[in-house]
Amino acid sequence: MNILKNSVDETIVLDIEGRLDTTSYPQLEAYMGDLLKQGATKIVLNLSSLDYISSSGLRVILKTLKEIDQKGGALYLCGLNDHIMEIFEVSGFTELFQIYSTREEALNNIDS
Amino acid sequence: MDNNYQTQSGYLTIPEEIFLLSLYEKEGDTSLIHRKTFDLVLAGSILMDLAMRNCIDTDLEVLYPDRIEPTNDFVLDDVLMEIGTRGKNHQSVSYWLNRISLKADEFRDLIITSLLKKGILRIENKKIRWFSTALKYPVLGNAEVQEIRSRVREVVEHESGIPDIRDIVIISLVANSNLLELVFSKDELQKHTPRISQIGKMDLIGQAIAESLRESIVSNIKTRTRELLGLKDQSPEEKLEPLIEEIKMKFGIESDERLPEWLRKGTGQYLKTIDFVRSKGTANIVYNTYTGKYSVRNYSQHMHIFGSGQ
Repeated sequence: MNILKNSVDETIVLDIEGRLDTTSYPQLEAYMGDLLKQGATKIVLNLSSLDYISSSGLRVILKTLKEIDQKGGALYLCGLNDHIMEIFEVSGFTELFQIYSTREEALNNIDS
Repeated sequence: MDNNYQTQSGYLTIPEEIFLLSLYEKEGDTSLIHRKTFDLVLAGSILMDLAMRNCIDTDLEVLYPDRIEPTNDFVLDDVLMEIGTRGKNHQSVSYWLNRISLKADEFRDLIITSLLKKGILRIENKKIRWFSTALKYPVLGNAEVQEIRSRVREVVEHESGIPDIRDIVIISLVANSNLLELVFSKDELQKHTPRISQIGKMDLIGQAIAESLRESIVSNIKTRTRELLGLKDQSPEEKLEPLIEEIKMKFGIESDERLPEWLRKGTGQYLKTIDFVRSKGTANIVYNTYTGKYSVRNYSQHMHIFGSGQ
């Protein structure tokens, strides 16, 4: 899994590429932990290049949501493909996260 | 991740927590834990604990092994070794739930042993055999059970919060079993149903448990409906099929030719099995290869599947 970081004003955008599973989730967990320690309060996870997510990947995303929520921040998701979206719907995550179709839509809504 | 919940008495695994939660408050009654459906919940708790330790991972379709490392818990290690051996075939979560549930009796004993060693349970009457539903397991001080129930209540009642991962796992198990009624009153259950449903969905293994339980219930309803409508009962051969499948799963038998003689079609012993099923009206039976006798199965019996020559 690769993580590419960009910043748009105060918002950090992470492009996640590859698979988020039991092998790669520690990488994302550590990355997100560092961002939160550095004071990030608005994070967009761009999942348009994410091919696969397993239960462990879901858990780390949820854990991050909880932590950022406790700090008064927000975590946004965008670019979910049909399969990833199905998993989010089945697990009820669509009720917990603000999910946008594209990176641009997510950033526009955050600004507004 | 922190995989064990620390109580005043030490660390508990998820199966141990679920087991404790299932004990009735007043008498330490174990009648709930011997219901067949609870076997699936226990199996789910084992898988969830292994998932929390990153020993296994799951998606919507399959379960697969990851880190096959000893956990120092007999129950978890037993299942983990089997998943490590067979899990590369990428079977579904439901497959593993059903497979693990076949050993639920054995795992219950191991969980009880562990809780006894941790000083959380004690046996009132040492003369009473294990596995008996008459055996009482008083909880020392009841503190551990109350702690778990309080945590479940707190998470559910805090309607807008995001639960900790471990709490999601516990509540998902509780929501998909009969255990909610031990934590909440009927009015409270009605009030908190949306929240419980929301949390119950968050774990994919919990969803698989719910699906397996639904299939089990549907199967029982179909059987009962046939009885009520006076429809033609299943033949002894049809009744034996689930037992044969159970044995094949439990012992990893892939070919019918490798079944024990009493379950292998075409053998004289199989015909005797059919006769016994017909006479008793049930295929819930065991065959003792040493004595050559059949009996109706109960939870306190060990099944002798293979004779000394097999």
